Amino acid sequence: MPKNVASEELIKEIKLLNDQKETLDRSAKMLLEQDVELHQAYSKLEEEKKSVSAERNKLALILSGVTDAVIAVDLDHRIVTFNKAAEELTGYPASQAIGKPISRLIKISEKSKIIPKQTYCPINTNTQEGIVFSKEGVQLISAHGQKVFVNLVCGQIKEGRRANLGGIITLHDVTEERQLEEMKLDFVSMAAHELRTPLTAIRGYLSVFIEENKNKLGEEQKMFLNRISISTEQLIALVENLLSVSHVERSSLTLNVERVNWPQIIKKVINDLMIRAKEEQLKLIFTEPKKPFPKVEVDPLRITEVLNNLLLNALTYTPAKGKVQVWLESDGNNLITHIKDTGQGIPREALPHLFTKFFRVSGKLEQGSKGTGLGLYIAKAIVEMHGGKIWVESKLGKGSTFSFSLPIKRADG
Amino acid sequence: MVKKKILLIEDETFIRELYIRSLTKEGFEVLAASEGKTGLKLAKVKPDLILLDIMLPKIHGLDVLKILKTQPETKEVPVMLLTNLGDESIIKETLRMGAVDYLVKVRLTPSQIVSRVAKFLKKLD
Repeated sequence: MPKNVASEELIKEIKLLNDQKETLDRSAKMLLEQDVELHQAYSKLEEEKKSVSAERNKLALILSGVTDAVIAVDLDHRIVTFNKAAEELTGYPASQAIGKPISRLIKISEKSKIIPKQTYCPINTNTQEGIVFSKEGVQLISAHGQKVFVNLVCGQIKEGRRANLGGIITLHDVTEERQLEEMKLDFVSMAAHELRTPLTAIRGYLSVFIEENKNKLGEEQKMFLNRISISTEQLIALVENLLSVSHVERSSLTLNVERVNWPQIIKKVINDLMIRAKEEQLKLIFTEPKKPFPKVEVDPLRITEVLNNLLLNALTYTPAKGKVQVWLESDGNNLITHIKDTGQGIPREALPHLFTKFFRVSGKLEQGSKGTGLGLYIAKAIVEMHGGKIWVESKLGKGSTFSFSLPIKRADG
Repeated sequence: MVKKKILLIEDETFIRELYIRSLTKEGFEVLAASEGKTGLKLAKVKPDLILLDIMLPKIHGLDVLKILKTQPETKEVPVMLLTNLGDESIIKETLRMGAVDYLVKVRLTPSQIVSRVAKFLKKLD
């Protein structure tokens, strides 16, 4: 082989190798670049991981700091979150609770009737958001068999379905508040009972004295005794109201239902109040129904209390020479009693609060009022127990009309 | 006409004396006791009606009622409860135990009480 042919071959070989080196160099450079990128991506991931875990820790910390028990369940009602307050309230450690069906650990009841999980934590197929159940004063039985009173709220979030999150239950322990409330009621009811005995004596002796001395007394003396008598009646009404409130609050108010002739009861109540109306120079009128009304099934004592309360209010808030009118109406299903006065009327802003406990209209009305802010609250409770409704229409300066309905129960009902 | 005999068992002196006066004025013969033990002893004379207070010292009115309703010599005597209790469960319990009626003292004047008593005794005749 000639010499120059061999060197040409060598040159070709060298060139090829050079080309290959260049390719390799480029590949090495690319790999290096990719390595840097990968490194960067890795550290970014690491950072994200750290922040996610910090976030999760933060959430767990926040949840453990929440004083209300927070329990989250998945779409199968299995517990996925159980915070520290939940551990304390229920007596179960989170480690034992997580993954368990909620019904195995949490027993919620109201008046010793169990509320099923589907009721207090309904899992809806639609993407409903917000509070799906809320109830105050339900009972929870703890791991140690202890009964605690809680306010329960169950909420749902829109993304819940995607994240396999069925509901978030919050339980607020109200046991202590309940106990305090009980003590308060005990005290009120005890004090009221103790007041009844001397009041019975005052009322009794006064009535006997007035009865036996009617003809021997001068006009002014009669007026004095009348006022003492009215004040005693007010005091008795107040004590009775306090007792009724403690019954209402304890839900121990019971009805002794009878079929009664309601217009006849109204007549009697009005008759009893006539002396007082005259004393205050007020006209008290009952427009008797022209045709006979069907009998209603009510507790005559309780419903008389309602009428008495409404009439006493009307008499109290109507200035002399005014008029208080009572009439009946029927819409077929209900017997409606209206009590209209020509009194001062009730300010518009006070109307929505009128039937709440201890509410007293402030301002001008308050000065002359002798009420406790309990009468209308009790009236509402009693009327509602009978299945009726109570409402008011009033204009300041023009008087008020209070009305309540009582369902007419037919003989077969 | 023979006077109707009423036994009043009531511990509050003011109230007891007030009712004795009103009942006597209406023509009843009244026996009175301020606590259960004396009341039970007096009940053996078989009055026409017993007016029994619930909140009594020493022996509670409910226990007095129980004894009255089990003793052969008093079990037929009608008993009307005098009460100032708002607790309806106790009232219902006394009616179940055989009391004929109950009178809430604070809600009634003495003359209203006398008229309830007279009405009841008239119905018995």
